[in-house]
Amino acid sequence: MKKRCVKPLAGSLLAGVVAVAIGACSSGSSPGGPASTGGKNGGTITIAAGTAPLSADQGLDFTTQGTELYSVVNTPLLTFKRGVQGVGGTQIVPGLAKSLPTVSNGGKTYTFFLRSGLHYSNGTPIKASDVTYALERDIKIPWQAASFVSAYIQGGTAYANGKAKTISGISTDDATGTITVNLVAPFAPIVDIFALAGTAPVPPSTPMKNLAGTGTIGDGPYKWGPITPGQAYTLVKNPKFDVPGLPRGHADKIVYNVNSNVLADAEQVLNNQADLFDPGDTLPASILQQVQSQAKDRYQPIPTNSTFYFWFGVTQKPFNNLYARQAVLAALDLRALSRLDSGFLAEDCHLIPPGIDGHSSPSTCPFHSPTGAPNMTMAKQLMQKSGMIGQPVTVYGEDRSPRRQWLDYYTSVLNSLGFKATEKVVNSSVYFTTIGAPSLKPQTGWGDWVQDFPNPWDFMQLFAGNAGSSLNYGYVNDPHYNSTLNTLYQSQPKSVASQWSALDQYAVGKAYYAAYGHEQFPKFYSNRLNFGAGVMSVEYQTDMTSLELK
Amino acid sequence: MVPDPLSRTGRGQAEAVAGTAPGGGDAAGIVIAPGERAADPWAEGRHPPAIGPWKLAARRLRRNYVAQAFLVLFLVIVVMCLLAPLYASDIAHIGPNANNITGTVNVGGTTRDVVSPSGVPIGPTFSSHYFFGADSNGRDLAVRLLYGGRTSLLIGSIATVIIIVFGTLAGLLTGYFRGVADMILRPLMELIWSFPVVILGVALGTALALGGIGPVKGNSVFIPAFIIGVVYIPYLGKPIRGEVLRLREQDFAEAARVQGMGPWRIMLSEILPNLTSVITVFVPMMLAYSILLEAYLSFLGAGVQAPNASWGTLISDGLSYIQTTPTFSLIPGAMLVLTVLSINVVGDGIRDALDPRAQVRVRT
Repeated sequence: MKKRCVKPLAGSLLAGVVAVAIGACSSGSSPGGPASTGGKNGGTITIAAGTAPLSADQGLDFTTQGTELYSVVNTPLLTFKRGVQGVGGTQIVPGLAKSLPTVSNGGKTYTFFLRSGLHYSNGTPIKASDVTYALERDIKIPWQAASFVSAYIQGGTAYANGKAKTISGISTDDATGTITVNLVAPFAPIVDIFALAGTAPVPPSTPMKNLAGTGTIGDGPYKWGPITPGQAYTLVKNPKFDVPGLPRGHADKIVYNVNSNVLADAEQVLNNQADLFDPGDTLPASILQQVQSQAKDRYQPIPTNSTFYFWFGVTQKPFNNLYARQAVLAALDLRALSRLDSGFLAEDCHLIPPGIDGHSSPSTCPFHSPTGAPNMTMAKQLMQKSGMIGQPVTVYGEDRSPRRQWLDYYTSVLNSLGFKATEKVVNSSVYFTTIGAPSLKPQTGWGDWVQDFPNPWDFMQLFAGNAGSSLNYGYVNDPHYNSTLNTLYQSQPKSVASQWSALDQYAVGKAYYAAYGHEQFPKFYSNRLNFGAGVMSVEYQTDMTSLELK
Repeated sequence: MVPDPLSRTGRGQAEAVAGTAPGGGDAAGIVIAPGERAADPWAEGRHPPAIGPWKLAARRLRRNYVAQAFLVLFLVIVVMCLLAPLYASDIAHIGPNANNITGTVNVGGTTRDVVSPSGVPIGPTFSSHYFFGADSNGRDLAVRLLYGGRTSLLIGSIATVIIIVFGTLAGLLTGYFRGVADMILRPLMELIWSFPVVILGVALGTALALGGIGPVKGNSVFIPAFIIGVVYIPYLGKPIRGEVLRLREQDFAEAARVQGMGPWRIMLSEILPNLTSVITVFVPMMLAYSILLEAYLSFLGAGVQAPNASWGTLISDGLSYIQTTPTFSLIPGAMLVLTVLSINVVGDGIRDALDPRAQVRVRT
């Protein structure tokens, strides 16, 4: 599973004068959607996916697979610009809000104005208070990223703990469509969070439970059709979509079929039996050459802001020992890990990926060059110093390719260092909930993170002391790390990029994580689709509104 | 069918010892042509050396050349698998779980990547290194094939022992005591019997792979062995029960009871010996079933856990390359087929040898 969220404010959200960009934002796309490049509207598009979202309900799910789907069903107050491939797709534009929010009170108060006359896909009018209800629902279900809401909005924690009946930091006026959000402290990424589908308003009649089999009602270019959880998800055009400036999509119906045999998925697309290979999975090496030769006009690897890493349980043996952790970093061959990913990984030891402010050059990796051989001499010396040789280690990883192959490799490295490592392979659908269970306290394992929004905080918060076991699997709790993080997230990323970079390097030096690369995702379509018009967004992966048949 | 003089010689003793030839018939695998009358050594005053049913069965088995050929094949496979460590250390120079993703190998004077930068592993080299090629982690498939065979055979053997011991025990208890034992154990066996074996195995395998059983860790080979053993217990227990129900009413059992023998002693000294041939027939059958089920479970990820190899995991791993390098799946598949086939043919041979009636043929 890859967690994902929203996009950042690409730049200037800080000073509180965000309303500036409205004009530019709203003019970004025509009301009719992205300009067609010779394709046609209508028809059914089939996606071959290897992994299902945890749920069709955006109030629970926070996976890349889920975001692809419900982000076109549930439009939030703000949204990331669609129809733009690459960094341009991280620009935040108004969604259900009339404009970007105004910021006041020293960066602690954000005010949104809901567009008037909006309706859900079932015809119910959208009210400002629905936003509050959606956020409360996020906390209650809970949304996988519920801490984004509960930890930073006033009264969020009290509501989460059952000590309050509503989130006191949010006030709304249905008559004027005003939504005022008061934060505990200045928190620049809050704008990004309000562009996540998880914060989109839902009708107050929506049950406060996970609607995995139906999804929720929203105001997006599509609405949910039939869903078979874990197997098939259908999106159908929403004829009542009425948000100006946002693309309406081209296909009448989009069917997301899940088959864990990724090779079969790729073959279906290669043979034009399915229209799109879901980029959440890796194209198997065994078919890659065939794809590159037979389908070169409909295949392209697209860089994404993502990081793959191994985490360490720093509160227990053997990885409560700094030298033991450093030995692992010195012994990991990042080239090997890239080859296991069909060569789609750009090797790097840092957590913050290249597309985000604060990224450090791979040349600053302390133990060995990411593109060079591992430093086994140093690794063995560090192991000797650690005194942890012979310690048993249970290594957690997912069962799907190439994650299981990464796990095999990682385990072999640990054994070569003298640990007694054994694997624990967990089904992909429950992997993160398993390792994130507070009762487990795992020793080490695999993790990944795909950008929620282009802010270094999105990546570095994974190892914050208050991140919780569902994100910080190794229970890292470093006072310097925490305080630096809490200071930096109040500022615009660009202005403190070097400090973010320093924090990343500090954590690498402390070996809190063994990051090993940033992945390219495959954009791979059938002959039926208009390849040029399709957009691989750094935020949404496949931008469903851009897909059109030839 | 050709008359079997060896069997003919032993007929009288077989009847005398085992009492298995009703009516002085042709039960000992004898082939008698119509109108032919077998010579009677007793009537002629000759007393052939006494021979027991087991020796007789062994003689018959020796005459079954097909079974012998497959027995040799099976033994060759077993020996090859037992010698896996030797092959790994002295020929391939790499362990079964050793990753070598960025390594190179010299093939015909050319240095080649074990795994290409785009992740494609090397195919068969038919040389000492990577004879059958490498998997995506750069592991030597020939080494893993042999180690996988050890795993598959070990699990099959352990499971078979579990099936034989507990299946026999369950059959004895339910068949002899009936009553409460039957009321408890029989529904339990029926319950297990009623589940599709693979689905039950997958369910148990998935559940136990995470937490293990007590001190046995989830990735231990004893977990799939235990699961396979459990799901197949009724497959032996039920026929044994039926046999015991029949045997407990026989005169020799009644005689033992009259002599004051307790139920446990009757079961162990009177009933169990009469079950030996049935159990012997079931051993190869259960071994073959167990190896196959292990392969199913491992193929589905619920059997042998990574990074350990078994033929099932190797077939599964090779599927990704079925179009480009089909040998990755075909070779472990062939090993599995040959092993199970050889066990089955040998098992059939044993059954034929132990079941006199199965051999009776009338030449026309």
